Amino acid sequence: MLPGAPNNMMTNVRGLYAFGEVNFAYHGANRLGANALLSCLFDGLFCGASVDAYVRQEEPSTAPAASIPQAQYDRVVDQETRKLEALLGSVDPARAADPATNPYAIARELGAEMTEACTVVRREDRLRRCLATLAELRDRAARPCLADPAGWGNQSVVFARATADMLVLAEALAKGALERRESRGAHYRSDYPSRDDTQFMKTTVTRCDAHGQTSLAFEPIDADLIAPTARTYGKKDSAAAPTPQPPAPPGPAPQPAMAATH
Amino acid sequence: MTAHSPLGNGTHARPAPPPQGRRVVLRIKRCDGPVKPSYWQDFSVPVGPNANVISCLQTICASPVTADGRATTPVAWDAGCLEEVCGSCTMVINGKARQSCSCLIDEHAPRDGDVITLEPMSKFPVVRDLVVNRDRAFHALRRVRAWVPIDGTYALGAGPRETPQTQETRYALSQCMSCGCCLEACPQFNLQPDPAAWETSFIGAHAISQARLFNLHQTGSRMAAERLEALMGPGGVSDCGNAQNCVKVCPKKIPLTESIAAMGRAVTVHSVKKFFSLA
Repeated sequence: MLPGAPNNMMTNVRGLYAFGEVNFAYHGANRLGANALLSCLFDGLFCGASVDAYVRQEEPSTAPAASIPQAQYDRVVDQETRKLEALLGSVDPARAADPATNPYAIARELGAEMTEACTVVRREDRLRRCLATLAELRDRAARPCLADPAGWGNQSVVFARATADMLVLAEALAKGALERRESRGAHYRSDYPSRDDTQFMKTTVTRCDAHGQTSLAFEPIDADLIAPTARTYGKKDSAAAPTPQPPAPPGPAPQPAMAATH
Repeated sequence: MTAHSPLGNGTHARPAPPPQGRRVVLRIKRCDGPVKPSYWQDFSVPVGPNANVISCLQTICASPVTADGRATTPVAWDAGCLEEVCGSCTMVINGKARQSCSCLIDEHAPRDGDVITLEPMSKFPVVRDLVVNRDRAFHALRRVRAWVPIDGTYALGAGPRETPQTQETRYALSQCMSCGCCLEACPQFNLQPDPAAWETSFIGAHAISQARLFNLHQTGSRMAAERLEALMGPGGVSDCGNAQNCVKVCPKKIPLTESIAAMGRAVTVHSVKKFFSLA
């Protein structure tokens, strides 16, 4: 990353940047709770100049939005209108409370399943069951039944769409956890408790195609400059080389029993 | 956490069961859209431990049926952070304005069948159900220029230094999330759907306190006179009726009445100086 280069933290959509908590950068395997501030602050400080450079040098000046054919906009509007109409067309107050097709009920089940299978301790068989559940939930979420026909302030339409997105993310998460047969950072696999740098010192990249199908790949991490070492948080070091003792006070040498307590 | 309960076996739908068999009644003042009539609906909601108003509203959405068994539309509400720092889920709960995310059912309806009433704030126009449009509260922040002027045209250098005393005062004020509780409780602040009238109607305790916050900031104080001018005019600090409700309902316990007093004094000093052409 060259400071100020327009590509810094740009997504694969030209001109769309992923700053802050939406990107995975800077934290590697460990992004503990409440640490999002680092990526927010760093991206703003370091990559803000990239947006400025992009605006000055790149497409916005050479290809303004007005030069894009109207048909391109119309196509997207049509596509989204069809999605909205499909959701509004599903409205059936008599069936809306059925948890099989109610987006809020589906999202609750999704939350419960992900909490059980994909949080602190992960295991292959549980992850496989989770993926089966996710497939079933995706199937149900694809044909939702809503209760609200309103064209104003209709939150269930928004929520139904968000639920479909949550399911894609959940699948990416579960697949990544399943394929990473090691433990690293906050990812702990009880069936593979140790870190495996030969196979998995890699970044997991999940792609989602136009049909919402996710596929997983691993990209190697460049570690030429710094050799990776075991992360022991000082535990192993202190066992190997005990902290130096304070200079012995004049007088009798410390009792062995006392020395052992240090 | 039950690690191996028969969850997600992938065969059939599973309605979320209440971990304890208690139900509460949510009595909700509903409204289908701006200027449409309001009506009340009761919902009997199963609650588990640690349930809050938001989780109950989600339960209603998962099963939008009233207490007397009629199918209805899901209730609309606003929410953001769910940890009482964004203010968007503010509503009137059992008659008092507060955030619904931090409103625990066990505290407000401890027994089976207890009733909790939910209403949208009355000082803002209703968008739908419990969602209100708080534009006027944010407009008030623009009136007092509640920001630090940084336009990138000059180097700021290392930035101003702040004494621990000022920091302590400012920290309390900085917790304001413009939720609107102080405005809902204020007898001087009334519903005003016409944005043209916002410039001259009472600005509200939150904006007065924010003017103080930014006048205490060394860079922000460059616009101190502009903020005082805004508070001198109609709808400014002199419209406060000293009811002191604002400080009682503020969820962040911001010393709003101290801010109103401090800004009242600053406005008086400013106007005297101005009279003698000193400001």
